[in-house]
Amino acid sequence: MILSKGLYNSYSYFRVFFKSTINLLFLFFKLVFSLWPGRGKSGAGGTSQKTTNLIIPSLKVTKKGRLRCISCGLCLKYCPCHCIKMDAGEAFEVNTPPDIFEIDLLKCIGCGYCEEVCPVDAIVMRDAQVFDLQYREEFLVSQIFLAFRKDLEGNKGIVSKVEDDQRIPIEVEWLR
Amino acid sequence: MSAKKHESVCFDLYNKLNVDLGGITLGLESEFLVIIPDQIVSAIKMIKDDYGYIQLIDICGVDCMYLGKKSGNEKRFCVVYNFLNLESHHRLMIKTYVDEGENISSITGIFKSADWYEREVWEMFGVEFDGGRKKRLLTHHEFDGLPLRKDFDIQNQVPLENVQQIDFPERVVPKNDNPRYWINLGPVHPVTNSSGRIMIEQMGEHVEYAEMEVGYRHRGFEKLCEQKEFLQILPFVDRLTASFPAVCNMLWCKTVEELLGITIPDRAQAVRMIFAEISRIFDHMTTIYEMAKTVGYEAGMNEVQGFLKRVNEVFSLFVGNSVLFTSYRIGGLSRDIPAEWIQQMLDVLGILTKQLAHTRKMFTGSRLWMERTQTFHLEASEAIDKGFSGPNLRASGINYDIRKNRPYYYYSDVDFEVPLGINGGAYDRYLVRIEEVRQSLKIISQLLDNLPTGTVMLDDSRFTMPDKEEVFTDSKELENHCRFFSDGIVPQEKEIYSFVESSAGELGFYIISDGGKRPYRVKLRSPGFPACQAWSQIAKGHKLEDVAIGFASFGVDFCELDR
Amino acid sequence: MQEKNKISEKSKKETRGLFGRLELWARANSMTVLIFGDGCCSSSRMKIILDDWASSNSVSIDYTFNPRRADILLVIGSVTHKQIPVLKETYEQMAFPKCVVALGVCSVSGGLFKTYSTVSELSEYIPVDVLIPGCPPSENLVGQAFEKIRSGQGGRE
Repeated sequence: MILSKGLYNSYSYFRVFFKSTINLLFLFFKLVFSLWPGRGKSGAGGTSQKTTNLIIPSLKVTKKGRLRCISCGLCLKYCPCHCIKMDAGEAFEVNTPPDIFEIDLLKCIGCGYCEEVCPVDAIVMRDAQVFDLQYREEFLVSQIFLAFRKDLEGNKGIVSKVEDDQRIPIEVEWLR
Repeated sequence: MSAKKHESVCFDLYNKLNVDLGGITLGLESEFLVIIPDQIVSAIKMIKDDYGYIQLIDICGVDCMYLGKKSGNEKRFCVVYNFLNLESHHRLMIKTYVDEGENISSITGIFKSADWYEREVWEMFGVEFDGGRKKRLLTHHEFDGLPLRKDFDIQNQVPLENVQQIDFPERVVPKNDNPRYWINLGPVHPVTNSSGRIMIEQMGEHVEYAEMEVGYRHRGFEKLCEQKEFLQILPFVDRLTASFPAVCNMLWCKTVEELLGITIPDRAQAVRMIFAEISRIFDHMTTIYEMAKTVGYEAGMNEVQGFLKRVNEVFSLFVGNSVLFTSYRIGGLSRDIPAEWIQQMLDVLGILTKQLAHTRKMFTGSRLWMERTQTFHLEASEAIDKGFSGPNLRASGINYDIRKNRPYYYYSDVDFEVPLGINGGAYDRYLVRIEEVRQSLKIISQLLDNLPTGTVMLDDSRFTMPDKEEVFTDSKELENHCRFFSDGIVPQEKEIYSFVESSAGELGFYIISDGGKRPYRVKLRSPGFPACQAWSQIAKGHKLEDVAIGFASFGVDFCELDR
Repeated sequence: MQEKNKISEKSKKETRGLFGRLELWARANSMTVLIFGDGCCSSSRMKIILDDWASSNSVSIDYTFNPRRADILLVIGSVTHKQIPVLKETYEQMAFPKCVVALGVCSVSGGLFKTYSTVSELSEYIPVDVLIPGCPPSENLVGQAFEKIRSGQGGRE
């Protein structure tokens, strides 16, 4: 049994036998001990999704560093699994960011409806590293995780396209 | 021709039985007749014997509490029957109105396949059928309440303590007979993929009686639909089943578009057809994989799995994950296919065609495969009577394909053939499926060569969202955007039944809309229902070792059967 | 992610002798999985993902439908009230050491379908060890969760 193709053309039986035995030994070592250099613990799969962890909504910020959200409540109404919690108080009339904005990551299905519905470009679907979160209570994340975590451009947050001076205020009667 | 013939059906019924003709809408694909409950059995017998409506498709119940007084109707419940004429391709729907406490006579004497449909209407609404079985189907046996009534709270949970025992009091075993035992292929079993339960009464080596228990995957999809708007139902329809990923969303969008009366652009129609054909290939190869697993044909299994991996890659190139299609919208698609995807798709098609020829040789030429799959023969008349459709019907020799008889989108312009079987056994079902895969590859290559240009989304402000860039800058568009999501899509007061040819058979949605932004009633007609219902008649007399492969050859998916 | 730490003293490596460590190594690198349920994160897709992970990390994975032989119980798809007695019996028939993994949002927290017939808190019925969020969970997350099981942080003695 000759294990490599180029050996068919060689003239010496001894050389063929020797090379085949060496190849077989290398295969054996590779399979059993997995000490081959350059091979570490890799992620699963061979398709193009190797680098995604968990796709969750992320909040955007203005140039000055405040949240872009204006508490209109459309994302809350359109989420199919009710994973967004928002407490706004008077912010609804004045069009300012809410006091509390929480998402339960164990319920979010990543459909992207909140991004489609938002009228001021305040929320977007991005990938997140969640392996540091250990226990069930830590998965109810607040605005700090959603807007200012490490993978979003180094703790500064993604800047939204709509600026404060260009924004058109939303009338309350449009959102019955 | 078809409109005249149905006028004659309706007027004959009117003359002979004094039937009320309120509710007729001629000219559509499906028409409605209203009949009082006492005359149901004679009317149905007449249309089966004289007018050729030989297949029962569906029986659906409706709670008319909030529907308003239409045509003098004051009763609470409505039962809708759906029949198909295989020669003129026409579907006739018959309605009756009953009140609480009234009974209707069952039609199991005329159509044997009405048994499970009537059980479901009894379980969900409480309407009693004289002569029908009163046993729960989708909910568990200790459930208390009638779920689809309008006054039942959706969050009302009823837990279960004990598994249902095998108990059929109507089976009387004569004494001095051979001993009989019950075998339970319980839910955790490779044949059903841990979602269904097969109970077999064996005598020696043969099956004497068999029954199936379903409902382990029942999630209450129909009740959920009544509380969400038309656009919000799309993530739910995405996640109904994993066997044919893109077909359920396509059907929902098609039904709502027909309800509203709009047509989508040409390019969107072609792209939807491409994904429907890819899911057909995926489902057929999965069924063949399951059949090979029950026989124990390892080489065939590995071959098919390599094929499936390539199809998975093709999905994930477009969508990002291989299961969910979140880009279908009412009015077209939300984003267009990228240009390099077409080129990759054409390369993959060439590889798949060559691999398919090799796979065929491994299965069709193998003696083990041919001998093990010559079981579970179904004759043509039996197949129609039991309600089969799709490849299971075509394997018995009947030439019926919705893509040829009632073409939608571009199926009338594309060139393909419909394969037929001869004997109706498991081997014929395998042959029909593998030939359909080859025809699907042909359809996809024709579509990719002649893909129409243009947009993929309809430009109509009543049904589609405004462009995002304009929303941020223009105040009129911003107002339109907010009002569109507050009001939702509001169709007229109408009911409609729309259907497609999925890889398992005829898949259909029946929607009743009352003029508001939420649907009033949604019913899904699943193609795997007849196979499970007729199981007790099909499995009788066969050997025990053939049960597994016989069941796997029907290609039943439990997730969309239980909704 | 996992529940609060429930590992007993016996499974820590330092307290074991030579044959104990050999047993731990053998158990970590050969797993038998029982897949319970079917949903839109279908069982066939899970098998493809796990086979890829196993072949790239030189672990051997076997699939079975017999609870006496299984180590890991993998719950996929939404769990209904009709399935709960079956699930309990399957869990009790498995032998120690065993581990329960809830995969996908539908079994972790009820997910999208929250109605009269689905269960949203699975830990009221059987003890759950590892929870994997996502709809469907990406391959990276599944691989990381199984790495944790392999290193001995999941499961109970």
